[in-house]
Amino acid sequence: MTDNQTGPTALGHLRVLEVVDDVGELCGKMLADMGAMVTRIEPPGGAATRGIGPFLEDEPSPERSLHFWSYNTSKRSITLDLDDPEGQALFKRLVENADIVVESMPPRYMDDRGFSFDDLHQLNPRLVYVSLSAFGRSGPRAGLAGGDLAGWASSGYMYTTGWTWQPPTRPWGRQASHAACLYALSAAMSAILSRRRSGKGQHVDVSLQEAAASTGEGYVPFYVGDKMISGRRDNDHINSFGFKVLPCKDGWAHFNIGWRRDRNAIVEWMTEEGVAEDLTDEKWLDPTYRRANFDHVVEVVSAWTKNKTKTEIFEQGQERGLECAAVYSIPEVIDDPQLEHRGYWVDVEHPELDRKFTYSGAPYLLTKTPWSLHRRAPLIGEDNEAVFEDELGLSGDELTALTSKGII
Amino acid sequence: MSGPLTEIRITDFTWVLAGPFCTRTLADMGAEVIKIEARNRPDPHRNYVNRTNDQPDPFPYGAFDNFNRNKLSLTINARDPEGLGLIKDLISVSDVVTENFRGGVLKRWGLAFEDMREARPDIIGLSMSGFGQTGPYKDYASHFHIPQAMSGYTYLSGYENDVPVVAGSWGDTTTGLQGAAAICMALEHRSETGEGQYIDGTQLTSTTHVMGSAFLEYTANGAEPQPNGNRLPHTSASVEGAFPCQGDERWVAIRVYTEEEWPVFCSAIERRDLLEDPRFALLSDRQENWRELEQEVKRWTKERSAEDAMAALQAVRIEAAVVENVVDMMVHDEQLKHRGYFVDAWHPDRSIGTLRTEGPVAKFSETQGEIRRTAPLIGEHNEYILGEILGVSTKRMQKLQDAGVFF
Repeated sequence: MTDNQTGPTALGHLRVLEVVDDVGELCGKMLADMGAMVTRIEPPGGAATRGIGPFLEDEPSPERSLHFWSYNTSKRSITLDLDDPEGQALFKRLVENADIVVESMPPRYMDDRGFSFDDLHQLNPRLVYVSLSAFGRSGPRAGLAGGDLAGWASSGYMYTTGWTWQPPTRPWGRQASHAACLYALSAAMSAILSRRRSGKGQHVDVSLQEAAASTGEGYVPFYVGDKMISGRRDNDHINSFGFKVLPCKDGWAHFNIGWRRDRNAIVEWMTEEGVAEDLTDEKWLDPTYRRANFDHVVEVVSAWTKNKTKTEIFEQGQERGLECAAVYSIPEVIDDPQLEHRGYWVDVEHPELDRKFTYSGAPYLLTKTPWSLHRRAPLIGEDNEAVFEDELGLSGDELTALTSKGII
Repeated sequence: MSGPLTEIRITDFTWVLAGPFCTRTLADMGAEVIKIEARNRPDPHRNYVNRTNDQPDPFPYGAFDNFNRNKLSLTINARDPEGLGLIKDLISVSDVVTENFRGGVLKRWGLAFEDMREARPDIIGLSMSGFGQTGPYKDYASHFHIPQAMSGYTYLSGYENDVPVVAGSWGDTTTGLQGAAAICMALEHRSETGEGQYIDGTQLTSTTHVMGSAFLEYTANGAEPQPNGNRLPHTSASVEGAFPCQGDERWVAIRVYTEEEWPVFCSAIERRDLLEDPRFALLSDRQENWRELEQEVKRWTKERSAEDAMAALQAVRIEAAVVENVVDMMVHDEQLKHRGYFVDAWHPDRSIGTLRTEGPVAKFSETQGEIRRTAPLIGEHNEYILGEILGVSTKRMQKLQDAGVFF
């Protein structure tokens, strides 16, 4: 484990305001971990995503949400009642000095409060305004209810994932949101880059539906090419026979026994160990025969994999040029020697608890401006004074008055 | 209009999926991406055709076009000293170099990052190998399923006590998207300071990075996260899943989340009786008995089309969406039509004309990028790149061609 540390950052000169739900949290986290000054605007009492579990030691509390901790590293937090006219005015003052606003609120939320792109662009023509939503901010479905699930469902990705005897299945977690946040991230940065030439900000609008759809593979070209409608293929890849998750001594390993090169390597390996049975027969070279009798291949290979551990299969297989993988559970990922080598896990201080916790670390290693967890997720309103007094120039008395009115 | 990255040029050594997805994202935003291949070692994705239904002559285009649209193609022999020199000349007028070979391959060609920086001092280099440039697994091969398995993503997808579900190619595509973001951030840093840098990205760390709170749940609580089907981890939703509708393989996804939504949902599915049912009285009851509740919901969805179910629930602002297949998306979905998600792009093979492909994802109000064309034929832009960008004379070009340097 490595301790979090701060060095030169890529984005230290950028100020970002965030008005988001669970759909939009990753975008600001990734900006903040790269050094941008990201300020999350929370309603007094805290953002709704502080109510998402799991919680530290299973004690639900807005300051103990491990979900919130994961998605809000390196950010600052201020509380502000955006339903109150005074709160709205303060938000607009913050916008005047912001480079980026990221919002993923329900349809009309921003418009109804006078925070539409047009409203804020008038206040600050250099502002880059990023919207994330299930279906996008324009079009016949722009007003519909939806989050991560609706995004996946309408992306075509879900229809092709899972077992034929179960409903279409989405992957673990909020991956449609993540896809949209990653698009929003490069798009927001591109808009900042083009602002250097034009002097003007703009609206960047990303839908979960399109973002997730674009990350799927094959189903669009195969429909265009020969009208094929891909469905669920019981774990097989959209364009292959033989992608299999097979049982091993201590869990699962992932193979592609559809690829000739990999199949040959497996059969060679099994032959060396004297367990290849009839898999060396010439009949298996005939693709039609192979597909019709593939269950037999799987059965023979599985009988062999069951006697090996997933790590044996992964490491020995890779040394033989086999593109196989160990299906690691979460504790096993944490023990992975490659991630350890990269210093992936980061210990982050939580001073108010007088404890450190180990966090997921750098997606990429930059030589000059390292990614870094600059701080644990903020406490509710932790940066109120820094923002309202030091940056907006409110007096201590004004801040106290706003607090007693419940606006901050 | 053209994209926000129109002044950025990328020398692109990427192949297969993770890397090309990165540079496609940048090309969609206007960057000039020059894809470098050798004719005797082309991107294997050029041969990516539908092999699942045993046609003798599968349609030859589509997947490669989709992941390499908007790019230019240069074929050059990097193992020839003159070829390597031309690549360095190209780097000297590029902003970014991208690659996703196994760790160390470019270095062996004489194109370590230090060599690139010699050609262009403020160059930004990005690698997207499976595991990284150093470390015990640096030489291991990697397609999408490998980082998905090694990051916990596969283990956690699907249902508890069942074989894990393999969910798409996200291990490749998320790597590409994170790489694109890293490049944009490094470009911004260069604009501020004049300084380029090298970025060592990997499929393993990119996929591990999108696992939300799973690791913290283990490191802070000592709990081992388990798969949860279509329900988010630790969800507090009453209903969250995909439900069968009238017709073959028609499904609607539904999520009932807040306390306020629960009675509204019961009314919408004409099951006010569920409000009185002790199995579902409190949110905690509904969470505990979610399987039984799903059976009740299914009774309603099975009686109607997926479209009607979606409309009835959206009318009362409950999250509901048809689980769309490719026909729903490409033919019926009015939202995708409005957003211009599918476009007919010019294809260099005249017998094709245009090819329907996916459009740019991020929508810009001022500098919208566009799909200018599908993928280039191999070596399609050799003359343009050498002649127009590098100023190589026709005579020298002919010599290079005869010598097999660019071919």
